[in-house]
Amino acid sequence: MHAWRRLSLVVQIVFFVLTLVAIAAFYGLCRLLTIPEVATGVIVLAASVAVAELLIQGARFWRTGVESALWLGGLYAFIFSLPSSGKPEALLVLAAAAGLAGWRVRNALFGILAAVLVVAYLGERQWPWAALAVAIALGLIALAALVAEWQRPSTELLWQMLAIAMPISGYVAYSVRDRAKFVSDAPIVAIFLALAAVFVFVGVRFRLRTALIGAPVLVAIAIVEAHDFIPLSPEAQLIAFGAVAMATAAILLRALRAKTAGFVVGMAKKSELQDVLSVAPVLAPGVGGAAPHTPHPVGSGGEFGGAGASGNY
Amino acid sequence: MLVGERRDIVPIGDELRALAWLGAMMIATGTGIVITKHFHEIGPLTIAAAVAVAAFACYAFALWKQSAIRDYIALLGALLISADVGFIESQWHLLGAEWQRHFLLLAVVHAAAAYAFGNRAVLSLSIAALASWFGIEKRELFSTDVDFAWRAFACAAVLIGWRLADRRVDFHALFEHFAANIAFWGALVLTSDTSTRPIGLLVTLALAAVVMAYGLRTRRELFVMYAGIYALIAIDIEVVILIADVSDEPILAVFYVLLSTVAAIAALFAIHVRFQKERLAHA
Repeated sequence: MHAWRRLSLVVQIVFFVLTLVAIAAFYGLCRLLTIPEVATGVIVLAASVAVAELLIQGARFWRTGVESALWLGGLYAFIFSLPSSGKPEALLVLAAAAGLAGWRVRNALFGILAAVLVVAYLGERQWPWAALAVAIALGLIALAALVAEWQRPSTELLWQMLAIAMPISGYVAYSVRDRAKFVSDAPIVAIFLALAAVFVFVGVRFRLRTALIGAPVLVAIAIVEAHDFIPLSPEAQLIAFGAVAMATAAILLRALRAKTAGFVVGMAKKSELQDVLSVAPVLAPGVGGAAPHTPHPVGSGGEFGGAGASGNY
Repeated sequence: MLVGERRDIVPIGDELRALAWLGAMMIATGTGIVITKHFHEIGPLTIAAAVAVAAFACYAFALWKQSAIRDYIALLGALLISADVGFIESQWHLLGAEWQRHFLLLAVVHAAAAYAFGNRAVLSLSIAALASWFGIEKRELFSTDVDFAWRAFACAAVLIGWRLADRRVDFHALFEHFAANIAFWGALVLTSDTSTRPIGLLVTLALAAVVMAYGLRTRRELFVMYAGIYALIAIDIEVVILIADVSDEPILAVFYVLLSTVAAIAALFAIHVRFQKERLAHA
């Protein structure tokens, strides 16, 4: 029997995107053949899921990006082919599809997408407190689940990502309830500070890295929400909290450097993803744009890069 | 945690280093906003001097103090220098009509710092500044409609030369990724321009062959992926335009894109399987 085929993250992303392009082309082809829209959705769904299952069962594809894209792309192509009513409940349908695809291919990201879409639905229905409560509850459940032992890495990854992403999505759903005014809310600040304390306690007590990553995220949310209570401009806050972050990292790295048990510093991981990401910002802004005609840098920037100096001053 | 995973040793160094990096980015961003928003209140000279002092303080700290966050302090210093040089040039136009040369200056300064501190992040700033300079600099050589492509090739050539002359092995990958991507973007620009499409396709395919051979020889799958994807895009552009010239029917073009994408996935997957087998054989 063949072994399961698994790929590195970068390669998975490449195959995922290429497969989505192929699904989009297939959808477009069906439409150009004047097949009705709903029938096109059904055909694309059936073909995508059939190919995905063939690859999973027959060729032992697993975490290649191809089968994940086929499942998610097929389901979403079907949903988008349906007549749109513009109701927020469409978000629940998209959440169910992401959940189904995530369950089948054991993809934690799809699971997160499903949970975020449910929170977004509650926010869209103008139930900000419900959105916040559900998100926080899911985050805490995920945190509790992380204390237990799990057989599958995908299940553990789902809990890890839920623990971090849910409070963020809950806060976003809550804070966009009234886009016109962005006023600090003391109870929200208190909730997120309390959550941060819980994360720190669980992280230290059970030696969970995810909880320790989540805690600063929660503190950051509390700081953002407390903007009216902090007598500093946003840029001064960025500088001050940036300095605090660097100092905290320095102190902890120094304190842990000689430790050989418990929390330790460990070796820095080197991945090729870092090299790829370092290239991305250089290629992103205005590739292929015309050279500036103004004689000075005001209002113009680099065509493929900036080294941090191509902004407007 | 996973069944069988140990909890007696939990490494958190990467997370703490990420926190330090985030802190450096926040300070640099905050400084950029201060420069943009408050230079009328504070005065340009004071701002330029204060940012310069802060940047030199960062470099001095990184030079003389053995700290676990030395790399991030050096990165912060480099980011502050970038902001300061850009600000000084925009305020006092020291380089006059040759203002774009400040990118070249930054490329040199950041390169010196990158080698002094052995810092890849600062090196990527240097390469980005060099790429910016190539993107802006206008000379006779670059006066055609597709001058962006030639500038990209020139930039990639300089990076390859730099990579060959470089003695720091940990910097090599950065040069290679930058050079490959910038050269491919240049080739794609040639391919998408009506007047240079055939030569653009040939250049893209030639580059793809070279990059793929390099990826296969050095067993680095990402370079094989670069070659496959950029070649696919160039061929797709050429064939779709060819189909559009011959027939008004878009079905053929869409059908071709579907086939070519599936073929590319299959080919790249076959190469990946080969890589995996080689890896297992060498394990």
